Amino acid sequence: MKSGLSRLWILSLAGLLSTVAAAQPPLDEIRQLLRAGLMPAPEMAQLAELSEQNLADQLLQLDPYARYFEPEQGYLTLPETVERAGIGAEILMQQDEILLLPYQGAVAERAGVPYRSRLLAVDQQPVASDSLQQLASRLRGPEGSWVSLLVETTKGERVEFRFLREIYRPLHVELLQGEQRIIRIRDFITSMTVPSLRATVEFITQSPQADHVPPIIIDLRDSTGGELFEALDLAAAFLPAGTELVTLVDREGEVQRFHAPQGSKYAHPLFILIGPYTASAAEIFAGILQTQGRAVVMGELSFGKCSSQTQVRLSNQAMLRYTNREVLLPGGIACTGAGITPDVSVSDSQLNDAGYLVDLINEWTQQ
Amino acid sequence: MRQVKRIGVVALSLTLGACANVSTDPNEGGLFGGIKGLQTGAYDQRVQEREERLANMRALQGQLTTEQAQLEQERSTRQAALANERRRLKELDSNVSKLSQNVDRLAQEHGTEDAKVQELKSRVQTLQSKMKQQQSSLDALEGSGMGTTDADLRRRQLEEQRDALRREYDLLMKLSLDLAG
Amino acid sequence: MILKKQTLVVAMMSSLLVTGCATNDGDRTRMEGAGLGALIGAVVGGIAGDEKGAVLGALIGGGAGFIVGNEIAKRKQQYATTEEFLDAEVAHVQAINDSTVSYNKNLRTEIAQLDREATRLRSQYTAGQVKQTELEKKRASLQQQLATNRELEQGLVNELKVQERILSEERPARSQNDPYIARLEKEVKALQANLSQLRDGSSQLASIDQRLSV
Repeated sequence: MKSGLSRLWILSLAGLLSTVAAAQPPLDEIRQLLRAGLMPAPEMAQLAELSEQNLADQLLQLDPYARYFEPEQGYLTLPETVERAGIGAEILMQQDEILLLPYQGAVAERAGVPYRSRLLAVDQQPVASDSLQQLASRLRGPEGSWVSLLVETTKGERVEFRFLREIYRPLHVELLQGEQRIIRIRDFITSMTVPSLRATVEFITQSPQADHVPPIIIDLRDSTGGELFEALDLAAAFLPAGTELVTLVDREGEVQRFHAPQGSKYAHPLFILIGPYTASAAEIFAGILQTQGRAVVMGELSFGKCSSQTQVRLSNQAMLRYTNREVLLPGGIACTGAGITPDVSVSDSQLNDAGYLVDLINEWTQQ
Repeated sequence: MRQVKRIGVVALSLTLGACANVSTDPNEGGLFGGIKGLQTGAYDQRVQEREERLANMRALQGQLTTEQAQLEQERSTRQAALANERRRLKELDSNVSKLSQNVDRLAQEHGTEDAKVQELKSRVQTLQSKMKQQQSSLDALEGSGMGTTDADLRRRQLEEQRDALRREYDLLMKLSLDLAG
Repeated sequence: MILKKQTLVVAMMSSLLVTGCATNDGDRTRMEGAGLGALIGAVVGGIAGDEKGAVLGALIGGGAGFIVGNEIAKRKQQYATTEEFLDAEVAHVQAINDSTVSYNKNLRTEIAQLDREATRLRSQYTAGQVKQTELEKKRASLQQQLATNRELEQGLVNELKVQERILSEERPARSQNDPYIARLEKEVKALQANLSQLRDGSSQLASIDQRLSV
């Protein structure tokens, strides 16, 4: 009886210990992975110093794009096809500022919140000290509840908006209505972005407003990247089979070259809009098409981050993300640090003026 | 003496005889006519007759003049009345003509209006059926045709996403099975 | 004293001759007066005297007879003048009356014509009034119909606007609530969830920072 109980007690303790152990990041595993693959190669001393308490910051020290995701956290940014009640916008950080990027047709856009407004306060509470996650929870809320936003527009005006939260599901690829229909790609998601773009291009060309072969205008001004291969697949949709896309280089110098596969291709004239926060997969996409002479790139110099990260599931079901590849454009051109230089440069204010950009495109097509 | 008497009687008889048949016209009859006329008052009678006749004629003239005045008055009245009739008839004709044009125009407008109303009705019906269609959903449109609404774009994007994800899933499943196998 | 028959006859014959010479009734009257007077004078003179007496008597008688005859002739002339005047007057008035009768007759004719014309116009007017009334009725009816139609049109336009607005407003909501789209979204979400396991280790990310949907 007593041995049975003690056995039970030992088993329970063991179970508890293993649970505790499982909750803790497997530092050794992490070190091993980083030692083997992190670009650039980490200092051994830094690896040795990794600790649970400061893991997030320490990882950033090693690699600005390294992340540790707890087991229960979603590791990929899933497309927001879930029902969510909120203001119908994206928020992202740019130079310590929170930018609001409303979705087409959602409540914030309908209320008049301008695209790329700087968010200053929510319900009269300033947002400066909030993390993005904290801010997200303040902006999301029950359907039908009031929310007020204080924003600063791209023109420097401070405006307050007050409206009711709504359930929305944004389109993955948006079509900006107007004289020329601009296709906005916010991010690249495996098996989502390419099909969405294809559907959108079909939609445009079948619309009664369409010219015979309308130019395709892809807006990447606020695209911070996404999944690299999706970006490559998307570039391939505009390039003949066999065209060089990128070369991936690992820490050892091993290269992997990628070329456009067979498939249906678009022959439309292509224009890509980029800005200072067009980054990573987005600027690689633009860079490929610019280098191959397939697209005209307009806007401002892009971010200049052409590295790629991998995600590894750890033994505790957590995910580790770290930089393991450098991406080179066709011809071996590096873009990390340099960014993509547009064929047609514009100023900050012109970059925010879709009408102006469309006019530029029209002038270009008439040449 | 006897012969004288005889002659005297003959002369007197002749005179008397002449007197008896003499005219009472003062322009005729000579002396005996005159004597007769004057003595018998025939001349006076004749004048009186004439005066009476004249008076009658004058009376008649007066009547006729009065009658004439009345008739002229009547004519004048009738003419004025007729002018009035003409004028009001002209006015009426003009009104009727304008009215007729007005009615024609209204009838035309009515026709147009009717057509407009019919068109609107059919548009409303179309919209209603569209709404019902949207309600009953785009199931029927799956994979076919492409409308130009936001819902159509969403639908197409989702369909393409679904198809791409299925392909990827099938591929990865196959790969993982191959690896497992 | 015996007046010779011859003398008497001569006197009578003379009287007659003289009378025969008168050119007008006045003269005749005077001559006859003279003649008669001469005869009577001659007779009286002859009775009273002899032949001389007869001649004297004839002369005196003739003279007196002439005077008497003249008087009578004057009187006769007066009457004749009066008669002539009256006759002329009568004729004059007669002529006027005839003219007036004729004129009045014409007036009556004219009046009758005017009457007929007026009657004709009146009946035209009545007919015109009837037509006017009909047209007015028709116009009123059309106006009524038009007003009704316009109201209907306005109603339909409003309804159309409302429905279009509902459609356009509901479209995003409707598309979210549309069962088919909901089904698609569910399927996409399920596939992604299934794929997340299968994709482990095979994805390469290239992005900066985080973007959140709110």
